[in-house]
Amino acid sequence: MSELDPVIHAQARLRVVASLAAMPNNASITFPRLQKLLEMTAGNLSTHLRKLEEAGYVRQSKTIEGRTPVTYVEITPAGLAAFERYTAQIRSLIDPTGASS
Amino acid sequence: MDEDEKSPSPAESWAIIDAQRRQVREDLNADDRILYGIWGVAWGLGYLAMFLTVGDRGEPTAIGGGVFAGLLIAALIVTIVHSERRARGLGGAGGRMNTRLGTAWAVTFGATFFIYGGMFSHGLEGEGVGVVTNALPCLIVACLFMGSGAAWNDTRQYRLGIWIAASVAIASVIGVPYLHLVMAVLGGGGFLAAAFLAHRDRRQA
Repeated sequence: MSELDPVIHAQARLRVVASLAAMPNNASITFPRLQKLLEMTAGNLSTHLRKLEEAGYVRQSKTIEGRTPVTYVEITPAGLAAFERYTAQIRSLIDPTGASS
Repeated sequence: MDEDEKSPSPAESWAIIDAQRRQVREDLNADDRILYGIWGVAWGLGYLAMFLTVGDRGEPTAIGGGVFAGLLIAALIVTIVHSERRARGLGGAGGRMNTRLGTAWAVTFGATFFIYGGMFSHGLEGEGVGVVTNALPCLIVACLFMGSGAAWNDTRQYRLGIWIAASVAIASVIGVPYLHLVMAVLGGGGFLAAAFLAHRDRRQA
């Protein structure tokens, strides 16, 4: 079996990616709402998002709503594919026979 | 090692993925049990009140209409507050589509009031008025449910739209005063059945 993706296979980033992959109707989410959802500090979340962005797994876009700058975060198709690959690997590690799938 | 960078075991990874999926569902997804449930109660009790208080010639009374209107307004407030809270901070193509669908509800129901005004100002009278005033908004609900169900691949909402269209068709053929009883049982019942199925799915997830 190939190595688990090191970008995703870290506790905090796995939480970020798993949340973004589960967004209803593939929606993007504002940075503060994501921070609240994950209960992470802004600095901590920024650090992990930057690593995920460098890997091409996450996209951050800045926009102006009213007069307030807002940052939206979303998972990219590459990120979603990497997460699905990771999930399949984890599932086969837990249950090598594939009996539960 | 930094706790954040710690590599979880496969079982821990699976637990993290599962926990985040649940949390996103609990915090960001509208709860169909609440939305279908509240509309099931509003339609069920509201239409029943209309049926039970109907006048001698089958015309709706102020009491029945008032109870129904009150229940619909309460359901609308719950829907808007709940949906807004859950969808706050969500954007992108999905968010835009939700906004447009929300606008479609406001536009179509706004147009309905003008059509009602036109009907009465042009002298439409008789039992047919009750049939049309009921059918028009119900058919809008049916169409928008089918549209949203198709857009989001939400089979339950799509089927509920078909069910409501069929219910209002049957009720319209039957006419007053049993129209309201049919809508209470089939329409309200359809919403409550959808709420029950959503509840069952959550327990199994």
